[in-house]
Amino acid sequence: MKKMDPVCGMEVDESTRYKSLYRGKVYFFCSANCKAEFEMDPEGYLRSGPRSMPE
Amino acid sequence: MSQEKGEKIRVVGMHCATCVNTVTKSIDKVNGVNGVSVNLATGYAEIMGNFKLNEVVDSIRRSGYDVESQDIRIAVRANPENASTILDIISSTDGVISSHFNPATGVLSLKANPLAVSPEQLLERLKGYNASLLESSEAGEVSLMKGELTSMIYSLAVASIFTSLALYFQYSGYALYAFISSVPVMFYAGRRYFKGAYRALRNRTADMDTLVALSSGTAWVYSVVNLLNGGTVFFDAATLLVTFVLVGKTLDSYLRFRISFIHVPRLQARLSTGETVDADQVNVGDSVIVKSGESVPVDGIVDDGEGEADESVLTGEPLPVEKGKGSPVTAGSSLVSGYLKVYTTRSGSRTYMSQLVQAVNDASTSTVGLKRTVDRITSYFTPSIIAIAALTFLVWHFYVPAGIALLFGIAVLASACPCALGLATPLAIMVQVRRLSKKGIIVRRGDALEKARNIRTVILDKTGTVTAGQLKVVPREVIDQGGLEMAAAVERLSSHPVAKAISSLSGAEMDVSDFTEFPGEGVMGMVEGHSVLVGKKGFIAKNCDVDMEGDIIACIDSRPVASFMVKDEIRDGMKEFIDELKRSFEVMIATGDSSAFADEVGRDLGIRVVKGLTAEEKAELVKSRERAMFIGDGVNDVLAIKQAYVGVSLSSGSDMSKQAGDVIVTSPTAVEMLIDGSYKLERRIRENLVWAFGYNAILIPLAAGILYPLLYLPPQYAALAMSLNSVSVTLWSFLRP
Repeated sequence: MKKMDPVCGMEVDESTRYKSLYRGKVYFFCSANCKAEFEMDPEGYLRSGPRSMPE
Repeated sequence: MSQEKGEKIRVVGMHCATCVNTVTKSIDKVNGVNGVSVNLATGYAEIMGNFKLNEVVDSIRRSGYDVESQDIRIAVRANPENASTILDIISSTDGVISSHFNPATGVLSLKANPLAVSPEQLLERLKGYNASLLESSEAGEVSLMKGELTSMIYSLAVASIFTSLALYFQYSGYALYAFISSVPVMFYAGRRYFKGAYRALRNRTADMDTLVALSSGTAWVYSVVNLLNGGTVFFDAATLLVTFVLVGKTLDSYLRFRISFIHVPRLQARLSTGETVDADQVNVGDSVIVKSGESVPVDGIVDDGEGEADESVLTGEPLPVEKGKGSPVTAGSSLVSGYLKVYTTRSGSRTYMSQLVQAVNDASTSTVGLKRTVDRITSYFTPSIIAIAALTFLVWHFYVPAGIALLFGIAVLASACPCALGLATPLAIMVQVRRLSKKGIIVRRGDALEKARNIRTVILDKTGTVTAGQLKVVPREVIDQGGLEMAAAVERLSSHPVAKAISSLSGAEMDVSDFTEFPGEGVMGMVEGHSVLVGKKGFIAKNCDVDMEGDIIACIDSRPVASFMVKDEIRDGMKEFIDELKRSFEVMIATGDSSAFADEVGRDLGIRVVKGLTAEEKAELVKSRERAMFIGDGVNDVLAIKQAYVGVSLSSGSDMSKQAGDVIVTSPTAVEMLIDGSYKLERRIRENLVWAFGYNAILIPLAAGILYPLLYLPPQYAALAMSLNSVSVTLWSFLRP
């Protein structure tokens, strides 16, 4: 099953090893970087959605 | 590399825009980079500026990505004293990431950016050094040195026969026949020296070949001129000189050939299907049968059977080790008794044994500090000798006939041996690296061995390094026994060592659905309609109101039900080892573990513990210390190992950490032997240099006729003595205990 990375917006597979549990819900990421970004500010990412591609 | 350049590299491992950012930042902060653009889709990074490629690659690797690179091995025909010239040529070529040259084997190995430089272009840069590409590393090197040796032996045979003839004719008064016999000696057997001298001249340097060519050539040309004028001829000196140099050099080639390689034994593997194949043909996942008395042909895990294996080749440990179902076995060890069925995890050149052999054969010398000084001295050596020879001739021609004065000059040229100076350092390193490898210490970088004696601080990882890494989980607080059983049931589905320990606390069988694992953090699953969450305290705290102490917490429906402490045992001999280290260095433990157990370990060993560190924080700690050695085994130690002045990884550790280590040891306590080896290396290098210099310092004045007529060294004997100098340095390096 495909899920959306809440940090970069990329589609990721549920089998990824990069995932996080926040308030009982599982989030999937494309890389360790995105996971770390999310965990620093989960509320921010959940509120405003994925940030656009950087320049 | 002074002008601005643009270079394209391919970055491996980028998934998304965040990665692009990280890579861009990591390239941008490198000295001299003026602009960079990274393309996520293609993986290409284009870099502008006046930068060093190896710094860019290092920086990208530190940020967790890799760069596509090509391993190239080139055989170079050059005298040892030219090593630094060759490295200078190669390292100033765009696209070369790193390079080593081993003067003892004549093999230049380098990593290059395939987008910027091709092997052919590198060969072009080395034109004049008879460079050729090597195919497979080990086989190529062996056949290279064998070829060199065979051609030496041929030359020596030709030289011996025709020199005998030349001597016979000259002493019988047939100068013309002596001249004819001398031609094959000079121009067939001795051609390598004339070619070498020409090459050196084209590169505007002078080396041993120059000296041999000048001395034998002068004697020969002088004799030819005198043959026409009816004067004295020295065909004996000219031919003997070439022959004697060949004797020494052939011996030297032979010795270096014999000692330069540790061979990976060619092993046969018996597959469980009954087929017998070469060990490098075995695929990962194949089952291999090993019977008593046979060598284990692959790396793998015992699937069935039991026995005792002798692993002394790899660990230096003489006692056989018990092997049973689940034990790891390593290619190169041998089964003393029993019968094993092995599930292959690595074969051929990927086995630990092969990598170890390759590393030891490669441990090269390019960056050793002392060697730079020696290279500088060597570059003045040959011109000075030519000047001394000219001076000798000038002084003597006032006192003796010109012919004799010329012989003194020639003797000076023939007696000087820059080769031994060039060999002194690499041979010492090769010997130390080989000796340490027999004790299970694999030195992957020669300079790390030199640096080990200069360390100030030793920082150790805790889990798996200071401790044995066999975790024990002890329940601390259990509020609800039923909850504990549910936690154990969920943990049963994970392969993490802590999870396994928790699952063994209860035998109750329960069905688990919706299992999810968060690597390194915890697990989640549904049992009998309840949501069960087990994991590290920090991870659980974000999803459940934790109000109990412990390293691991189990929560059911957001309510904590049990907590556990994770314990590990300190390795045997660790206390004594740390006490010994404390006498000379600052010693501390750096660990990612934030539990009370970390403090307990520090108290037991009497050293400071810095706990709860991430991989980056460990690396920062290492960086903040002057000349720190870091010893670790895990994936989270990789950054710290790379950052350290000397990075040591454990052979039981992760493949990634082994890749990062400058040195690989079987147990942290082996570091003492490493430091000891480092001191020994320095002594050996000095000894070799003193020997090589001393030999020259005695021989040159003798050849110049300082003790004439009391003691006199004719050119041919000066040449023999000279060529035995490198033989003696080689022998001395290997025979000295």
